[in-house]
Amino acid sequence: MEGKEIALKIDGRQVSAKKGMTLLEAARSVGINIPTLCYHPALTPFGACRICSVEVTRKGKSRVVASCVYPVEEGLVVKTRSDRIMRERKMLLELLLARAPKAKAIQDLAHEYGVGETRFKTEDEDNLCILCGLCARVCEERMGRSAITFVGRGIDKKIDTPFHIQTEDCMACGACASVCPTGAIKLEDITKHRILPIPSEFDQGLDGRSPIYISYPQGVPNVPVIDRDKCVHFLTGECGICQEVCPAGAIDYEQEDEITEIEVGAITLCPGFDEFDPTSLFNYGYSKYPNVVTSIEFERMLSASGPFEGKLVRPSDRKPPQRIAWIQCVGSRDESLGYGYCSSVCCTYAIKEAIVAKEHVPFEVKETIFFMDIRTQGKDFDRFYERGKGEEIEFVRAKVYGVEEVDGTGNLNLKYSGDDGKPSLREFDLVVLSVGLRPSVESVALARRLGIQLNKYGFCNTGVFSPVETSKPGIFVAGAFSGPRDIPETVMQASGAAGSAAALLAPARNTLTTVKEFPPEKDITGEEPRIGVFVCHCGINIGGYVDVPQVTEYTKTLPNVVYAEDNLYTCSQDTQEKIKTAIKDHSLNRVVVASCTPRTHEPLFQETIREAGLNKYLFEMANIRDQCSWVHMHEPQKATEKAKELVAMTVAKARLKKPLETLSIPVTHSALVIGGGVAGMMSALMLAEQGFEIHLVEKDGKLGGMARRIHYTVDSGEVQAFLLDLIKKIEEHHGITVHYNAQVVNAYGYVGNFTSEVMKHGDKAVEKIVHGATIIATGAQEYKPREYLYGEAPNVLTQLELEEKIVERSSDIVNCNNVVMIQCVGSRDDERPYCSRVCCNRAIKNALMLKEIKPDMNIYVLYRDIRTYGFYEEYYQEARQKGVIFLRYDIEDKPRVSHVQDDGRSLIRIESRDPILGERVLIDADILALSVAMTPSEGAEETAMLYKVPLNEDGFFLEAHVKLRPVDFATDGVFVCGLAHAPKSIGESIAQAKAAASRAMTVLSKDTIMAEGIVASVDEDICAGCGICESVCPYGAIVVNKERKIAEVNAALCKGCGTCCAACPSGAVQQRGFTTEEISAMLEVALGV
Amino acid sequence: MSMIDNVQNLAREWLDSKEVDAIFGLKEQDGYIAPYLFTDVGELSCLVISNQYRLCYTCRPAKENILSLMLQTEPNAKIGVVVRGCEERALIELAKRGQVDLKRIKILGVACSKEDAEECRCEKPYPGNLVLGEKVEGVSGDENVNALLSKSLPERRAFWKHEFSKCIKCYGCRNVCPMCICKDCKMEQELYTETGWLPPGIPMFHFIRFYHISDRCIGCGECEKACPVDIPLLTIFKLLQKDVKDLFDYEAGMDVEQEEPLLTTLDETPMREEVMDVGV
Amino acid sequence: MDKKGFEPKILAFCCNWCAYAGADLAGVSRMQYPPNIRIIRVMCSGRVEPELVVKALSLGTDGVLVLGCHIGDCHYISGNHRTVKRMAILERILGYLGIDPARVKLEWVSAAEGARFAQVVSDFTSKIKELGPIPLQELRP
Repeated sequence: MEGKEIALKIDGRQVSAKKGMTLLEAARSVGINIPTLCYHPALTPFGACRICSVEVTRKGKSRVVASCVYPVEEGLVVKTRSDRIMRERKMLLELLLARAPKAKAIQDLAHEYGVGETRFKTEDEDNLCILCGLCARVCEERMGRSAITFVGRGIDKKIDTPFHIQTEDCMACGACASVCPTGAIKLEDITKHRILPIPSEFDQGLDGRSPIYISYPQGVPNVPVIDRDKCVHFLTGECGICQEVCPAGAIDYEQEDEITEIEVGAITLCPGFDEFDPTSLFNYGYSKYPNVVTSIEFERMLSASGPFEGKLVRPSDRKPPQRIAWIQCVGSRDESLGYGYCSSVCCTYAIKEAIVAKEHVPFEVKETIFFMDIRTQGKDFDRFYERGKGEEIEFVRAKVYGVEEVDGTGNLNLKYSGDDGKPSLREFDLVVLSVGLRPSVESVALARRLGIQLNKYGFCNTGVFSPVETSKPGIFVAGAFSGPRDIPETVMQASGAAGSAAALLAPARNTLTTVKEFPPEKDITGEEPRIGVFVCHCGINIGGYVDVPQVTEYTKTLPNVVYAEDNLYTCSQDTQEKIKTAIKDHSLNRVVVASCTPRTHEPLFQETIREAGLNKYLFEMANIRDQCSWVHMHEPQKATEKAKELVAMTVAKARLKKPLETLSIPVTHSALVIGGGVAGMMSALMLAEQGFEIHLVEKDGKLGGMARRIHYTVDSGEVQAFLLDLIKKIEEHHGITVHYNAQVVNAYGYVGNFTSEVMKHGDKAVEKIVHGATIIATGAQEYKPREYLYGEAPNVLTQLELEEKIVERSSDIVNCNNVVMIQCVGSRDDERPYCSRVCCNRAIKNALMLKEIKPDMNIYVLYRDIRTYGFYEEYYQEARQKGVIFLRYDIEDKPRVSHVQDDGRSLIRIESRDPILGERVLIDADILALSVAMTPSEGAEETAMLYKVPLNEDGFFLEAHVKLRPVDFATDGVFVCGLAHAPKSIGESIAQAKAAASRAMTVLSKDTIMAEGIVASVDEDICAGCGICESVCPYGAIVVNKERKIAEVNAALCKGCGTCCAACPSGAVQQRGFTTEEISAMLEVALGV
Repeated sequence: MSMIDNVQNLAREWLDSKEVDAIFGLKEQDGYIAPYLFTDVGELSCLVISNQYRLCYTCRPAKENILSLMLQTEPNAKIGVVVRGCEERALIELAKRGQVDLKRIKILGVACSKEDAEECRCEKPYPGNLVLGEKVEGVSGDENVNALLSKSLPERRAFWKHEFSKCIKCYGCRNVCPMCICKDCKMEQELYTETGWLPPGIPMFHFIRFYHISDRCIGCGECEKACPVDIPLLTIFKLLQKDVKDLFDYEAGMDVEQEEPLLTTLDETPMREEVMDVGV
Repeated sequence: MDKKGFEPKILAFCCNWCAYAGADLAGVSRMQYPPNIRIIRVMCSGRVEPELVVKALSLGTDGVLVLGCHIGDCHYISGNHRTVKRMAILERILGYLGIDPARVKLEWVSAAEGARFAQVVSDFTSKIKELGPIPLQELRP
């Protein structure tokens, strides 16, 4: 090692420093904070501001020196906060205040040192420059430019370019502005170049970023990247500051892109989508008017971590908008742009944005959404639409054809024509363009490389019945790359794709895994707590603000702490070895690490102590970085005190910690699937093909469910052929037992170990089936209408009935001249306030079929909103081209129907009001087809009770999380798919069935499931069996034993939330790892009891 | 016919018709009144109703109160119980907590008189399952409650300081409370309130009961009556009863199928938004 | 009591999945807030017993924050539903006893809301500074 160690004393502490270090560096290395203004670790010290002055004593003589330039000397005694120094700093601050009264950094420092006012005369109220010279030094030393420097002398000295001329030398890199402590540098005074902030990709360019940046705060991995196109080092070879200041030495300019070859058995494509760039739509004025933003930009504007810090203000003048308009279908449903499809998600997100914006602002905001059809076809989305209306969001059915700025105000005039057909004009403060989804250029290129087929829009082509498969075997697809879709559909498809890949690779399962071996756990029963504490400097992240050695010394005084040390990085590999050695050498039976957050680092340390033979729950963490040093950077003393307290609190908890058992539950490798429709069969088959035993329970004598009545899909899928093939596969598979005419009558158990009792209709005997996972696919049924003469007149049919007649080519069809279809029969009303999703497509499908049979047939579709989401939009357009007439009706004024006789023929007269024409329309139809709602199947409620899973208000199964866990329940090991979950198309059912099978696989592919150690436990001596715990448990994991009148915990079901523990009035229920005693000990320490 | 005659007659009818196997009520003998299980029709002339012995069926500890013991020793018997409004509410709340089995109890609900109601400051002096007697309206408004609400925060502190300082930690309030069914009570646990001191920890000691009973209180006022130093405990319970009604539209002791609002989700028992933010 | 220079003691119970992560994010983003707060991590805001909150106040905490997931986002489905109800009752009891209910506060802070965390803590700290030290001696003989 170069440089010998030099011993000196700083503020009474013995410090050892390397020769050549400055006093400032030596002090900072041990967490002693000295204020600086003209200092930068990457620049030559200058000693200009003198705020870093310290008092040094040598051989009895003391003097004041600038610590940033004064080198360490053997035996030196340094005082950084002596009375003399404090006096001097105060004086300096008074002078600085006079020079730059408005500089925040100066005000903050003055406040810290108790300097209120300056006694000196202020020359220039607006001056910010304190002549620290950082800008000039960084420009010269690191950027190699010298574009700015000190000019003038004495009181005229200032920072400027030579001859006060903007120069070519300046490359507008902004280094000077970034190092300036007071914000005095104005780049536009210096450079000749146009100053363009580097747009932050995450903030949609609404904000800037530096050339080295972290993409976004929650990115994984959360590390910075360098933008080589913008970085001065990569452009000129200069700078290199980041490399120099990174204490971890993590910056490597030599890194190059590497091509790595990975051998895999399957590929899943999820490259996502791009949003449509509305710049090309000149009439909307995007990128011309600052207050026209895209919906994605608006998302960022609403975000608390966004460019405006969550304050809803508009870009032009940062004023809160009072009137906001959303324009729907921007880059969607527009074949002239090449985007003829519907982007499916924009209606819902626009409503969401409008509702969230309302919540965001304390003032009244008038919101208007301009739309063509509101397409909230997703599960529960129609309720959301209704809620939007309830919150007084105005919905205007109109095409907006122009946006123009109102002179000088930044406000925008919207030109549109609504239902009345007349051009209208309205002024708004902010306009949001609900931009559509389109495939990214990169993903199209990727598809080409992989040789998979794309559709005409460039999205990945999938089959009607193979929604996660690409055209190439072994390559799967998920998410918006296969078409616009929302989050739950994306997640479902992703699970389905993962499952399909796993099914393909089933024989290889676990062949590449290695199991980690741990030494046996030490029994610590009866031992006094012996706690070891490791305090982390985290480089300067903690050490720079918190006096880590002081914290460590303090820790040693805490009861039961037998060992404490500080580490530069406690998480480093060598420290793990140190921890293990310390456990051995000092017989530690509890370990505390004071560093960062347990959310990221607890598992690492738990593994370390487990490797040393300690139960992993004998570990506890104090967060002295994220929740201390980083958030109290300007108050080092207080931060140090807080860190001490945080460690003491943690030690107090650690003292009480007990080893916890993680229960290992064996798994039965079979699944029960309830419902033999398409969804049930698909998931059964997928699991059976991987060798899991499957019991399929079907209430009918035949498989197929609702699909038996569907013959084709709008996108020309041959349903019956597909269905027959699927049924055949199921019946022939030796691993699948189908229980026909049967139902589940009783069920108990938990993940990995369910028992279901299945009974055949009319039979008394039950068959007990033991299974590890349960898939609920009980389907749905067609609503039997009570309205529109259904059941009274033979020529009033449901769409499914019409479909059957079409397939039969029945004479009713062939002889028919006028067909009327009414949409939303039993859907989207007060009784069933949900959209049945498939009916618009089904109606259009039948209409197109009818047109094919008899092109001159008159077909009228009476609708409220046509919801041909995604690529189905094409068929809507096709139907219109082929002359199908679409007439809108209002829910308040539903069509009226009556019998009429014409020429001895019995017709149905439909009377409706067309809101566009504003007139009544009378049609005498040969056939009236009703697009009826889909309702939950009859047995749903019973099944829900048996497996203790919830239904939503409409009677469909309610998943664990509507966005992120669309096939799971809170009850582990039970999954849902198909129509039982919500109305959906066959393809969507299949994707969800695969997802459910995939989720079931995560259980079935294991031999055992490890339960969490942090679970509830019951002190049976205290428990009165009142069942309060049982009532509050969301998982049914704690139940009062009726015989014993004592609550019992099923550790396999318990997720360890502790809600029961908080509810228990006697304290009989405790949450392991978070007992009342442990929490109490922490707060007692925090309060100094 | 007087009220008691009606009760005796109905009890006789129930016993005769084997509708119940026994009648549980108060028996007066030699001038003493005590709970008694009537199985013999002949003894029913000693059946009385008395305001002094309210809620005696349900005194803690729950698993050992008379009613629950009886239901344990006679596992197949169906028992008729003579109850007032507060007692019925107590039985319903106890049934929710698995302490009694209502299927095995037939309630002979009797209404209290106006005087009884006034004495107990009872807001609901009749059972839901009223079998005998005329319903009279309960008292509305409460002087103590109004007095407390008119006080400022410092005045309230001064008031409770005075009241709680009198506490001799006899646990009478808890012991008599039909809703306090725990075997081991947080009021006695060192972890919550320091033991060995008089008066016991302010406000922790009393807070424990206020909070635990908040959504279960049936307003019987036994706690306050039992208090030897006259701490006005009912004042807070009355306020909480009203809060629970305002917040959750819930009243304790009404319906055995209705879970206490603190135990349910917001979907099951919503909380009124407008009262979600509390100000003083 | 002189409120000037008063440094309150503030405890915060933070749900591991949201507010604790939000506090971490505030840290990562170097958002500064007053150092009076001590965070106690719990797995769910539903773990917070009102008794413990009162214990903290009894021991001299000047304010207690309970920070959980927004309704609908609870990691344990509905733990926070119980929290909001319990806190409503707790606040009322405190008020009746003469302790300002503003000394306890329930807020929802998601893992993504680092700025909100810092804001909530700063606001609460100033509020408690305004209220002054908890007047417990006025309740005790």
